Amino acid sequence: MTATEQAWGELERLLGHRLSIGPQGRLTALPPDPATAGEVMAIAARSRLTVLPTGRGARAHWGNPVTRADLEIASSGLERVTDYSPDDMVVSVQAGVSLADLNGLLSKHNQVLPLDLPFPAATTIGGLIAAAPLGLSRSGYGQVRDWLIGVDVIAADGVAVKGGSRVVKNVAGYDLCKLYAGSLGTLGQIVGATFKVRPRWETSVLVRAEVPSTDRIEDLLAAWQVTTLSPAIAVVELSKAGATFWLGFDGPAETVQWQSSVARTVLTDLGGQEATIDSAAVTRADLAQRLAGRVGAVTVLRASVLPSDILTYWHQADEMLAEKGVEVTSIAQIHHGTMWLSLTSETSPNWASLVSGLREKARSLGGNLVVERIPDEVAPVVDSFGLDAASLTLMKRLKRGLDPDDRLAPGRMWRES
Amino acid sequence: MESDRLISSLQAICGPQAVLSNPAELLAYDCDAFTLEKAQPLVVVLPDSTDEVAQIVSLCHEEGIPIVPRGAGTGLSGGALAPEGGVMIALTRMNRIVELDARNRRALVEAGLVNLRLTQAAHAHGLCYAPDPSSQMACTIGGNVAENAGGPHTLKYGVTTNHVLALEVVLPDGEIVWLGSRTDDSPGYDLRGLLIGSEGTMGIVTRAVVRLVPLAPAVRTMLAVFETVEAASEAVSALIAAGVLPAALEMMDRLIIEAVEESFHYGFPTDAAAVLIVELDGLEVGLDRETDKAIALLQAHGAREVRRAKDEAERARLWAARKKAVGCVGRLAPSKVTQDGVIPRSQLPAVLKAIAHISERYGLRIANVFHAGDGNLHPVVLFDERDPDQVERVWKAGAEILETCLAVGGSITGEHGVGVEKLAFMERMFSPSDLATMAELRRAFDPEGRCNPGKLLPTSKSCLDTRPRSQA
Repeated sequence: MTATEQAWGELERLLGHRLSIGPQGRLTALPPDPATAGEVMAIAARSRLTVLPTGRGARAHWGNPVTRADLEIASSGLERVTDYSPDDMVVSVQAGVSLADLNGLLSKHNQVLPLDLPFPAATTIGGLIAAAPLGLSRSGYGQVRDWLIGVDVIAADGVAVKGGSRVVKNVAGYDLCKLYAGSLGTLGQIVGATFKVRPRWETSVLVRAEVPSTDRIEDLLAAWQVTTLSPAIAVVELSKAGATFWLGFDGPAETVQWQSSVARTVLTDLGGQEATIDSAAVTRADLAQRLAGRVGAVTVLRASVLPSDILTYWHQADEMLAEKGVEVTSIAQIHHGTMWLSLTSETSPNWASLVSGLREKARSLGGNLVVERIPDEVAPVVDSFGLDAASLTLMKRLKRGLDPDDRLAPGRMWRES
Repeated sequence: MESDRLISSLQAICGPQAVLSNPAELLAYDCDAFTLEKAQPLVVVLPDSTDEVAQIVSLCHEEGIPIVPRGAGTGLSGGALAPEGGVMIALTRMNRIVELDARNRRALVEAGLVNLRLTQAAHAHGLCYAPDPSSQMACTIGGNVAENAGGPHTLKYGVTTNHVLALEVVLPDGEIVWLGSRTDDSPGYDLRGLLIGSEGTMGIVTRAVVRLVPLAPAVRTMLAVFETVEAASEAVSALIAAGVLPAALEMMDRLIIEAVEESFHYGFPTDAAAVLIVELDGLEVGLDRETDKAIALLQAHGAREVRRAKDEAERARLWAARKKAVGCVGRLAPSKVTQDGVIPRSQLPAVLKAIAHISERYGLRIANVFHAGDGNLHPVVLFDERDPDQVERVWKAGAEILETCLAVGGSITGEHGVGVEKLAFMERMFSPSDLATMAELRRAFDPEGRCNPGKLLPTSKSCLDTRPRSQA
């Protein structure tokens, strides 16, 4: 009997109907609780099976394709809310709870985990932490790592490891929450998390304005860095036709009203066409969905540049892509310089070369570029992250320390050359 | 390496003025603001550039000598102690603001820059550096990074890790690396986030790219006066539960009030059992409504008086008093130890009562001045360090306070770090596998364990070096 067959037998006895063959022909375990998840991981470790931790698949395509995965361990069976103290504004959940369900629970107490992400119903908490996607309301509320105060992980050897705590401020030991956020399942299987949350706002509006004249866009981008307004949402959509600015304000009614009124004035004074308060026509959820890339885009890239370089990078990318017959649109976070580029093409361009070229341009501005979506057939030859050599050395040492046999999502974070 | 040869090698790198080795000079470096333990380094060196730091660290790497980074020495957990001797690298000469980019709301600064100087420079652009520890007039950005420092206003604005984008680090082998990115996002593992709060055990931070935030256009600062500590702590819980989001929410009890009033003559009510400093900020529009809501809650929970700072000068005086409060207790006792446990905010009334009992049981006065809004306690235990019996009781009382925090699901430290002070409590808060994971992370950066040894993680006799990670 091979080690794999022996593991299969052990897993079958442990999991029963919770062990199956997934759509990709991969052995898939669906542990019902964290302790069982630990046992599954321990069996995999004994048999040296490679493991791919998964959620509901909203961002399963992120990162480089794994080089091997004998066993998929899905967190979607871990569905309990383990503790919720509304008075402390802290909630602990297992990793399979969806972001939508979590916010549904929080809303009963007028609270929220304010991330405004695409696919909230398909985003498990485990996936949320593992992928650490950036949300629409980042200007107001930051990102996942700013809200995560505790994390429960099953390590490569099947042992439970805890990082952080259940209090909102804590510096005891190393900040494992930061390490696991964005680690894409390569350092352990996330089985639970604790978040601080905040009160839900009284009211919320979106202000929108088209800016057809390219030469006014820079003024508007700069304006939001100096106004006293504090938008929760500050994004701009860029295309050949010009720009559409979106400002979102949350809070007490009179504050929101005043801010949206000032925002409209700024937008129209600086060249925007009639600025409208547009909360009904396009919802916050609709707008958040646009961060996943334009409908029909075959490739979605996420560049990070300085906020003052958004327009420069946009022009550079547009020019380079136009030469290759690739159409591009972008949505960018004005305060953060994060730009999603949605690429479409009638032909089959050399995606690897395009990614490399766009990455170089971002680097020349002091930034970087990651791949969020790319056609399956070219994924194996495109480096999703393009990590610099010094960081890569340290990351490999960390990975080796926590997963000495490289069995967790091997190849996902970097390609072995 | 002989110490004479080491000293001359260090002098060759930094110049003779920047190397301190005689016992009188070293006396100032035998502890930080945690004074219960003391240990001297072999030598202190004050480099002036990243390159000099790298040369010093490379030399120590070749010779197998421990290195201990130090900022201004304001740390409260013994993080800048040199328990294994070695070379202490003090970053205070590296204190420049290299670049302040107002358009992009960020600055590139050296690690030895004093926190307050950065905020003062940013003010000219309508910006500030949000983390504002009470020691901000002296503490350095590098030290803040090492401890993941907080401060009163981090309740709303977040702690150091929320405001640092990238770090230039000299690794324990002397290599210079940048972790994170000067832009807001960085691909791969968040090494920046891991380094912040690592207490100098993974490398020496030499420069940082920090985020600056706009100054709030309007501020309302109040002092709420209470007859009992319980009422004040219940008011804190009520404010949080009601969804009021103050910029700062601080508590001081009677012992502190008396000491602060004697020093600052602010007009604190010395007959009160506790006061809360409540600060709300944001846009002028709507701020009064939020303030009224807070005042109503404070009064409903027993505030006998709520005073509003009438202008910026009064507000500044109030904050000066608060931030120097721990220093003021020098009037009450020759020595003090400040604890740093964190508890769920709803547990404040019960835990403050428990601390009062601990104070009685050990016959030690304990003053409380702390970040009530985020449940970060700072019980200041007063004693005389010349009396061994008192010192013994201080250790025991401190241990009980931390046990009390852990018993309600809290943490042993919210912003001061583990250092040498709380090493024994790491095993109370974390499991052997949690600590083994942390030890692996440390090894990835510092395989020889020479970088600020004896801090943060319990050492050899514990689980750390015994549990194998590999199944092989």
